Amino acid sequence: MKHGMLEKLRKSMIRRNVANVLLWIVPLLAAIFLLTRLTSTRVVLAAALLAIVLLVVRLIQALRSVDLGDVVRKLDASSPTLEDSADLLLDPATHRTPLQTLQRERVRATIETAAMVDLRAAWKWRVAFLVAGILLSLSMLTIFLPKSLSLPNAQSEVPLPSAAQPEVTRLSSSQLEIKAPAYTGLSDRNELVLDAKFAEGSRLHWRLVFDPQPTSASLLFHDGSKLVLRQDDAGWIAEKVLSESALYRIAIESAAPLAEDRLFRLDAMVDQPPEIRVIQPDKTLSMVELDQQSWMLEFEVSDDFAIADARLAITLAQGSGEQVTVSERSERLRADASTDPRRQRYRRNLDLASLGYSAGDDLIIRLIVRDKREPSANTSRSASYILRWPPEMSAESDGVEGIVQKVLPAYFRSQRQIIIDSEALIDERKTLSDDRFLARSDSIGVDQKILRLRYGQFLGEEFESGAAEHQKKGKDDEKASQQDALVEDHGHQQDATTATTFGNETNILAEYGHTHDHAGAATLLDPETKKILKAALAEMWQAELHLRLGKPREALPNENRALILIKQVQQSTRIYLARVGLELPPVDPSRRLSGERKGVADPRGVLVDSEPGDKVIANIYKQLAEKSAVDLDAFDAWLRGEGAKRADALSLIASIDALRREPTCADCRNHLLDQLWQAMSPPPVATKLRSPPDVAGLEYLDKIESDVHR
Amino acid sequence: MSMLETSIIGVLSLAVLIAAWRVLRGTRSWRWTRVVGHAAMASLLYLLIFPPAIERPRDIGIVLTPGVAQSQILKRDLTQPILALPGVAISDRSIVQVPDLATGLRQHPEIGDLHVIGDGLPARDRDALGDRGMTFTPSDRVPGIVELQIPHFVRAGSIGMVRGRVDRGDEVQLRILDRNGALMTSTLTDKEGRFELSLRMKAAGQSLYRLQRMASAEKVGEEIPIPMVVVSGDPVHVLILAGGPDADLKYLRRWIIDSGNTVSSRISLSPGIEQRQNSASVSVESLAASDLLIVDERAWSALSEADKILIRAAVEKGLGLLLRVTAALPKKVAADWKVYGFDAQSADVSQSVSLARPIGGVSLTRLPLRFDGQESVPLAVTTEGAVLSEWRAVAQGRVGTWLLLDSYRLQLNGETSRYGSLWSELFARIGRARGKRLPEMPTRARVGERSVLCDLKAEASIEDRDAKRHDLLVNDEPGLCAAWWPEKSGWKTLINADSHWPIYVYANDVAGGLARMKVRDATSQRVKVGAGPSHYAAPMPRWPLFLVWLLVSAAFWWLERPTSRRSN
Repeated sequence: MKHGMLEKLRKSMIRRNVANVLLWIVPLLAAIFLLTRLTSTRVVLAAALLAIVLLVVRLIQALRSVDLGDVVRKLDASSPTLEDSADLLLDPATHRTPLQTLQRERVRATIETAAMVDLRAAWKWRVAFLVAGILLSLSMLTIFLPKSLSLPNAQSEVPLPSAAQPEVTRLSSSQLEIKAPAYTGLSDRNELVLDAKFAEGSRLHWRLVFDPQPTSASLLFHDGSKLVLRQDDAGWIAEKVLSESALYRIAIESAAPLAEDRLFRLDAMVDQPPEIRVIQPDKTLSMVELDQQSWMLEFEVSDDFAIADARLAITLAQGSGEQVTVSERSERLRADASTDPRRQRYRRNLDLASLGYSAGDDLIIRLIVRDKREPSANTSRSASYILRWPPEMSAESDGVEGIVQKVLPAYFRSQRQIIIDSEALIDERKTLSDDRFLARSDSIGVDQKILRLRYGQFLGEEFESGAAEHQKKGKDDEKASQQDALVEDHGHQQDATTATTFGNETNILAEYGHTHDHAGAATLLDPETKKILKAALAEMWQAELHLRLGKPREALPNENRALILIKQVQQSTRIYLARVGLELPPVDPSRRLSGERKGVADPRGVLVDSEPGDKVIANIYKQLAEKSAVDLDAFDAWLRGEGAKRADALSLIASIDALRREPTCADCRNHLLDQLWQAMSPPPVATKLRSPPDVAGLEYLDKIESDVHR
Repeated sequence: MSMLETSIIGVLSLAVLIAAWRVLRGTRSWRWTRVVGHAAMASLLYLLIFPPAIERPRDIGIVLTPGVAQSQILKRDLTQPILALPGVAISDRSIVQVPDLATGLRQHPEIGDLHVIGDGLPARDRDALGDRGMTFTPSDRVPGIVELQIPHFVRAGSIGMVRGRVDRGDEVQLRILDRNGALMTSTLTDKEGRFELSLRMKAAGQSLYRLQRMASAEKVGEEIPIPMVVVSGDPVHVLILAGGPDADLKYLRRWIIDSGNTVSSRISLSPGIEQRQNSASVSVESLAASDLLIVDERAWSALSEADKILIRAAVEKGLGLLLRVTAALPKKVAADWKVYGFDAQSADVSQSVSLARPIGGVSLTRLPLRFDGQESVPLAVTTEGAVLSEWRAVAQGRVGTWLLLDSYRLQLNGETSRYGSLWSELFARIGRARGKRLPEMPTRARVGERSVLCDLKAEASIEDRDAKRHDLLVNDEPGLCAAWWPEKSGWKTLINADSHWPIYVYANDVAGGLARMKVRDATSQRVKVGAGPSHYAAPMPRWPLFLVWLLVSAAFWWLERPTSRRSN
């Protein structure tokens, strides 16, 4: 009670002192703010810590700064009316003299009346705020300073702790520039990650910046190839043209290993061959309609990049049976106007008449499309579409033979016809005038010449140009002395019905024989046959010579020899095709049915496991799933060797690598498991044998058996 | 008698003795009466402390278990005592919440038989039942999948069947996804809510599929993990003797080798000329090393008598023997096989057949032959019930016949799994009994629930993913079982001596319907009508004893009070 007044005064003084200390928080904060602009966080933190310690010390000092004695002294100093007796207020009551008591009461009254005694220290905000203002304006200045000025300041701090040894090398920036081949029309891309997809054949350009700088760097590809990176002022660069998917990792020579050392994946987007959609005709075999003049074709072609050209292959098969003439040609189609080079539409209206399409012919078309892939274009072919003009029913098909036509090789008949004609001429020699005889003999000679030329084509000999001229001439003048065989044959055709059976056969020759194109057959004959054919032609030459000279009797032996030779040719040409398929060893006739077994050995069984790859994958999956020891190296080696054909080999290699680098990574393990699971195919069913019976069971089984036998 | 009781008896007796000594030393009257009084008071005090038991009639108690509906609680008989197990929301004060049934019954000895309402009693509380009677009113329907059967072990490449039931009338779609989320198979439930899904197994290892019950076309209603432990099977060594090559033999040998088994074969091509794979001779050693001998009738007739005796001896020691009949049996062969218990008779049957199991649409060809076997077991049966293959035991071995001519057609039709199942079943049934015994796994191990593993070796333990091992305490009794309370869900490994078996533990929050149904079924099995004692012994109430003791004590106080006034 007695100190109540003094105590109140003391507390107010302490409060002011504390407030004066707390005022300094403002300049301290400003100082820290300035530091953050200039130095590293570590320094800032240290400074902040120091400031807090200082503040706390000052606060404690401020809290203990004032005791009651100080208050009394201050009271005495502040007011002379107290007559330096304020300390009486502190004295205990017991030892007071009456005078002291009196004086004490006076002082008390004075203080109470004065009431508003202010003993507190003055506010010291001016200095604090001035310092804070200066610091803040300094930090404002740093904002406008260029970075180069403030950075060295910051860096001067950083190297100190890290100068000793950076722990890892960081890839501070990476850039992968992909230049797709020009034909794709893809624009160049810049990837900031090192995994990328690229069109096959793209040129890839890496630019890597490491921190700190390694002494050398390279890219290691999964197939073992190495691409050395060159250093230039903007980083480490390298360039490579890739046409296949690949995995690679960055290898550096540096004291500090790479922070993120993993496999990167480059996926090649393979240029697919163009796709052809045939809109018209809608079925592969269409029958010609009555009075059809043209055949409308329509195709839609799409490709992933660009279509180079489209060609229409037109095949016309004329004739029937063995006498089929096939003519092929191809024409380039022009696409409908389209802005998209990846999707084109082609239309073509085939004029049937101009193709020479007639009854019994097949018109076969297919579209062949190439894209612009480099270096070799992808080619797609559509299915063959056939327009069929069914042949007219044969005139002779009145019997049970139906439409079967007797098509026999015409040339033998012709050679024989020449012989018969020659013999007939020899018989008629007496009744004929010399001129007439010579003319008849000459005409047989022309026949012989035509026949020789026709066979000559088999040997690749040129058809004499004279024949075509004769043909024209023949058309003008039926009675030309040197009649063309073709015209002659047509003549035969006209009187075929009244002629002998031989003539009838010649008819067929006329119909099918001379339009037949043998040019392609020149290579079909084996050398042996060619030799015989040559001999036959030589005989024909001789026969023609004699016939032209009007000596059919001398020509006759040549004609007969030619016939025999041609017959041989006919027989040998029948087996000119090699047969393929089961080739059994030749039967040894000397051992047949003799029971002779010498030299016959048991064939060895050579059954081996057909799917060893599946077992490798299944085994790895099992080990990995059970978390037992896994031989990833062996699996990796297998994937690079035997398993390299697998489509998923690359991704498996990448997953294995990820797991090997981080064996504890559960996600990597699960990812690999997922991939292995996908790669596994159900194996053949395994067998689980019964488990063995126990001793009692065995005894029981044995007893039962002996009981049965008893 | 407890320690407390003994000591109290001791103290009371001592007090009585001291009192008697003091009384008898004194000279006052009524001395013996007072000694008797002390003894009586001490006895009464003892009775007051330990009241004697008397018989009382028992009540039926109601036990509320999780899953009980409020309506069921409201319908109860109010005079009966009512207990609520954990997991029941209590609606009024008459219901006593108990931590488990045993505690509740101890607190309420008046409860005799029980009436259980709700999903039923969990395993721990079922043990507390003792021989009490119990009635059970199950809760309403359990939504979702309520039954699920998954094979513990499936052979690689075979077809694993997942069967179950959904407790709902209308059609529900169920599907199984593999670990990559690819749809493996899907089906619809039948009228009773049952479903059956078949999964073609991949190679040996553990794999986790997911069974999904679709709430709608896209929305998944419930998802249950389906753990499949695929075992690789035992490598079987097969010895084939054939009188001539044929297509069936070709595919059989191919399958044997591809499925991880080994084969020795001897196929006659011509007298003295044979196609051999490994050394396929008939000798004591080769027969002992083989698990199954497949022989056709031509090869059999070419065997010498000595060979046949060797084979017979080997069969009695456990070798499997299969006669592949490819044509009518020669008389000698038929006679030999009659001794084995197969009496061949020609049969007038259709030669075109299709197999009943494994079901396949392919039409196969059989031989028109029939074996009048004694005690033979059919192995392959046609859809019409005709037996194509059968076996019987001959001492430790088994002998079988095979009448199917072109099982390879299954293979040609792409039904490789069916082909393999057909032959692997035959191998399993007839082949030598030397398969590794698989431990018996719990139906569905759940976190915190007791699971029982059987057929264990003495040193068995469970290892979890982070290689922490829990040793199992294997019971010596027949069966060699051990109990296990899993702590975490996921794959664990049972290490049974030197063999490792994966085992999957379900988390507590999956397959709720299955868990509820399991508790319900187990509780239903414990239903028993009024078998427990109708009375129980309870200590008699203390207040009458106290009154008696007070009266007697008061009387003796009156007797013992100072008689100075009287004497003075």
